[in-house]
Amino acid sequence: MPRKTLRLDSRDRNTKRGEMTAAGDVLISMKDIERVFYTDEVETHALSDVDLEIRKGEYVSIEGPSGSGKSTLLSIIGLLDSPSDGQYLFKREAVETLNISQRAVIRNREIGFIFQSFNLIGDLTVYENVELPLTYRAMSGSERKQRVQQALERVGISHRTRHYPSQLSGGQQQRVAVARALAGNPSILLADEPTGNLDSQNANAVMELLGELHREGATICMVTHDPRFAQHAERGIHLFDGRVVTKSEAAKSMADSAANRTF
Amino acid sequence: MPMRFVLDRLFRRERLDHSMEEELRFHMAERAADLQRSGVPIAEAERRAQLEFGGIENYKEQCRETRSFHGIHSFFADLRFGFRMLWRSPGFSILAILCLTLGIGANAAVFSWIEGILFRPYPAVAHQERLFALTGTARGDPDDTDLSWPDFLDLQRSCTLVDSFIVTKITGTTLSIGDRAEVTTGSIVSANYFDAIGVRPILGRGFEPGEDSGRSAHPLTVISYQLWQGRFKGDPQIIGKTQRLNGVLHTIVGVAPKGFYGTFVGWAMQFWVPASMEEIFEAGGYKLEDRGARWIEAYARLKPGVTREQAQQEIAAVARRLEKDYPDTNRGRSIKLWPLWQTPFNNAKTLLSTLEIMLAVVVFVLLIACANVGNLLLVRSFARRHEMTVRLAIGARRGRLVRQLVTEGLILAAFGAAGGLLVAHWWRHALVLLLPARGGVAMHLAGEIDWRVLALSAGVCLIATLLLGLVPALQTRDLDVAGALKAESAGVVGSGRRAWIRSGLVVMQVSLSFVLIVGAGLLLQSLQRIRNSSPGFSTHEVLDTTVNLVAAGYDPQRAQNFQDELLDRVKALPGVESAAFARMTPLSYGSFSSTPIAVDGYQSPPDEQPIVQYNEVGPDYFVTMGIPLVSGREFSRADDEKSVLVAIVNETMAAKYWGGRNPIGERVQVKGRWMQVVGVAKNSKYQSVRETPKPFFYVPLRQNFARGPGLNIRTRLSPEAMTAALTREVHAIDRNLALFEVITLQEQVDRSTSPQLVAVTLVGVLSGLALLLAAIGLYGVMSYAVSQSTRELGLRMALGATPSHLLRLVMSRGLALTAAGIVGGTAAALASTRLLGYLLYNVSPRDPMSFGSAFVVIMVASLAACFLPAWRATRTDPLQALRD
Amino acid sequence: MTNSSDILPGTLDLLILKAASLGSLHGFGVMLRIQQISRGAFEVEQGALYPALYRLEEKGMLTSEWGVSENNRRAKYYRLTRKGEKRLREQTDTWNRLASAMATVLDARPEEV
Repeated sequence: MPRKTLRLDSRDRNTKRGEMTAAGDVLISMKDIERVFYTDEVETHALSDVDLEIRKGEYVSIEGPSGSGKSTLLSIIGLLDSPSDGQYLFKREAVETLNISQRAVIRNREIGFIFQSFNLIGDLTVYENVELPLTYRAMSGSERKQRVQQALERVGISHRTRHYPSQLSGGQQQRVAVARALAGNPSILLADEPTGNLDSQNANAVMELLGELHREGATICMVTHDPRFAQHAERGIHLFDGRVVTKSEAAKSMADSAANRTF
Repeated sequence: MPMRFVLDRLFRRERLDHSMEEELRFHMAERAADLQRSGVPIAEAERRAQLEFGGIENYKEQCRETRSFHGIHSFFADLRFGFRMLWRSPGFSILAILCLTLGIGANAAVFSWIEGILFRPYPAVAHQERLFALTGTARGDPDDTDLSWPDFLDLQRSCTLVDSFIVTKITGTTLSIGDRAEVTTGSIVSANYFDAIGVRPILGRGFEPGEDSGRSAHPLTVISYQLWQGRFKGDPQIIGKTQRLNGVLHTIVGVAPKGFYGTFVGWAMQFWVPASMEEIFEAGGYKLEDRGARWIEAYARLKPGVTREQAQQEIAAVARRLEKDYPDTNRGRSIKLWPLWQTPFNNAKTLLSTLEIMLAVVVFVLLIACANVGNLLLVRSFARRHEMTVRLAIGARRGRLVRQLVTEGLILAAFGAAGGLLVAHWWRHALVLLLPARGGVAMHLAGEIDWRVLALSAGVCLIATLLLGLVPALQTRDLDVAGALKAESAGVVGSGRRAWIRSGLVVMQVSLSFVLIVGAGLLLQSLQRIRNSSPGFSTHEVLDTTVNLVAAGYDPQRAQNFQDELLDRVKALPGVESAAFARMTPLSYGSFSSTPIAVDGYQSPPDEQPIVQYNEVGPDYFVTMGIPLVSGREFSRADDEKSVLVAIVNETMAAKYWGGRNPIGERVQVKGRWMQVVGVAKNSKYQSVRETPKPFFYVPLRQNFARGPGLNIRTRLSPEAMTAALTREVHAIDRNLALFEVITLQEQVDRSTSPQLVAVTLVGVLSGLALLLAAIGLYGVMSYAVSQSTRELGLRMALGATPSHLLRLVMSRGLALTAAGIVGGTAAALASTRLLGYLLYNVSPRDPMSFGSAFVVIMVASLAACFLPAWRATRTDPLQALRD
Repeated sequence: MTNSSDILPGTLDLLILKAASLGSLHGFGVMLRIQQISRGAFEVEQGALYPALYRLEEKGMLTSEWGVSENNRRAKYYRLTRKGEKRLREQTDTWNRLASAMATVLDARPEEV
């Protein structure tokens, strides 16, 4: 497995908090993660006993049928949600104790989100959309500009900076969203069904882009239910009913539940 | 179409629908039968007949629309539906109706004041639209003057276009009934008074012809209903009884009807005496045969169909004849008619400019309220987007949809108007509360809600409806049937949802509030400056009071002895530095004596009779009042009846009549007597703090005696502290005398500026209200914006925005709207504050202080309005927001 | 054949008035009469007839009453009122003038100019 560190911009002092992370270091470490939702006095175990480790430079896919807890897991990794129980270390630091603002700072500096539905802001131009996460940092205007340009060039959309999202095709919009995730130079890219709203041609292009980014050193964690795209990842984590299962178990469970549904 | 017919048709609608159905079915059946005859199978024939006929529902609708009652019917349907929609969202409806109640209520209240104070100020008086006020004018004098009794009689004899002239002159007395003595206001009137204004006494009679002539020949009085009820306990045998008024027994000949307050805007008259009793009630002696003594206030009731211009021409012609016939008294004089609302001699004039401003202010408030309701409607019409689209999709025309929304606006506005009229009703006496009390004088300043006010309010309601209807109309134009059924472009969040209408409304609200607050600030500063401006005499260390010797029946000699003795006693009181009598207290209600003068070596322009006002003052007056003398001396006790007549002139008079020369030692002729000028006093204010310097002089009280003078006392003691001591001294001389209220001259200044106070209070209250409404508007828009952009906010949080980032984001959006509103408001205020004109005193309409304060107030209000929505934005759950 | 939308505005009213002037008719009869007297040149969309009939009745050009049709069904019969007759005369005059004027214009040949 190729493991190397690629720093898109070595001048970024903020991102690493002065601490260099060695290649292959554990970036994300989860143990016994539980996530329980309470609705109308009914307990729903979205995640149970999840153990997970993602190392620097890995390309991991989280697979499983809908309702298996993929998105919940990704939200927890992305610090958008908190586990009900269990331990989550991000860069060896426990995140349970962080307050709202501290979590926001980590999301901003360490995590790049790519959503199924792109989530570009319609009132902002392409440029401004990409710039958005950087505006939440103390960063000089010229540096910000350079970062945005680099990110847009990287996804091949630097000629459309003055356009508004609605003037772009779906594929182009998702490229802008990827650029936005890259601009912050995060430790990990979290992609939630990044191809879900795209036709197959655009979907392939986006997967190709993620693959390239990975080869250049980016750490990627992607949720998908499409096995074709899951193949792009080096490693798959299979979820079923909120538990991590092996690939064969997953296949069996799928077959079982399919059988249950049929008869 | 007669109403019965309309209703008839309405109820028959169902039947008509039924018959239409039958008619159309018949057609299709015939066609199907035709087809069948030509060999088409029955099922196919029916299908084709229907097909050929076209959209049956559509045609039915078109048929219904041809009926003239259709409009009414659908209006009722709209009304019903509108009520149901409003009922279903009570929070929205109540807020909207409250806003409109405030907006329309403020308008209705001001309309009712204008109606009840300016246009038809005198309840129970018939045909007020033909009633006009009458004053004299003098060439070269910007102020109007009163009229003399002989001039009045000449007018009465000579004018053919006027039904009647009536005299009313406000007067006062201390009414002692039983052991209670009270200051009471009344009128000296011409004998035709009650007949001319169409007021019939409910007991006894009014005055009869001739009762206004003959020196003190007819001691009769008509009393008010309130006085009869309050002081005479409604005594049914009151007619023929006597009551001592100003020391003279008067026979009560009549009781005026309830709800009649006389003809003086602001005050409620309690008794009326005929003009023949003038000498008893007026200072300055017997004036009924003196054409130079101008003391009466008068009204003219024009004949039906005569315009003010026509009557004015005739009256001016009479005045010109009088000028020719009596040049000594009438040179340069004319007589002028005024509409009631400009009556110069009562509170109408002082309230006119205030109410004019109020009219503009309440329009602003209405606009702001309508903008709020418009915004609410708009927000709700987004919520109802689906309903609207479905209606369009099933074939409603846009006009129909707009009509539905306008109907809902009408319902809201109608409720608002009803609430507004209630508000106006509750507030119709509010103006009285704003005017300062004057020692026991009954005030009457009531708004009047008559059909004219109702009609105007209905008009306002309609305007409001149209304004409200505009908003949803703009909205439906943007409705896109196909688009709305499609989901919004999935990948884009927070794209501009035509928020510009709502933002525009808020910007307008902020602008209007800004203008109002600037206006309130300017008026407040004017009030402060006017009250702090030096009137040319001391205000804080001088007390003023009156002992009414006329009312107590003192003759001049006895009065003079009383005054001398009281003055000695007061001066001996601890804390009193000096004291002096004077006939008139400056800035008080009442008129100074005035006289034509002659000065050696001064040639007045032709056609102009130099008339100058003067005051009769005692020794030490200038020291007591704190009016500095520029040169010469002040009056002393030596300036009495036996010594040479003297006068002190003010600087303006000295400059005007003696040019550069020193007037001391020169002569001035006053009422035919030559007086020697012994001093020159600095200018001060005499009738109004706003007046420009004018010629004025003083003569010794002893050489020109008047019985009812005011007592001025220079002391550091408070009025309360002095009252007891003064009362003791007065009673030591005569137990039966009462002291009128003791006030500082500052209080006198404050009372004379009460119109400014009224304006400040009203504009202040309404601009506060406007600010509140605008803040609610801003709050509403920001709340809505936040609720609509949870997805965007959630996304920003996911991307790492901290709560403080989001707080700043929302606040800055809100403040951007505010900033735009302030820019607009500044422009509007710069263009419009000049209209405050008369009410501004020593304050520039562009006063930076007022603009600055308005800026601060608006900013603080909008920070407060934006904070809650912004705080709510920080509570966005990104996970939830992105999932939805 | 021309369908109703091709008919000049207002023409349908005139056709209906003309049809009704030839005797009392129900709606279907009006349609047939128009077809018949125009020798099939005009055929109105059948439903469109009724709003026009209602409009003319509301304006007082037609009056209606329920009667029994040839095949014994209840049907609504329309009859021309005096006002309708007057209107028909006026409209006919106007139409004829317009038609002859239009004909003259359209017959114009180059040599006449």
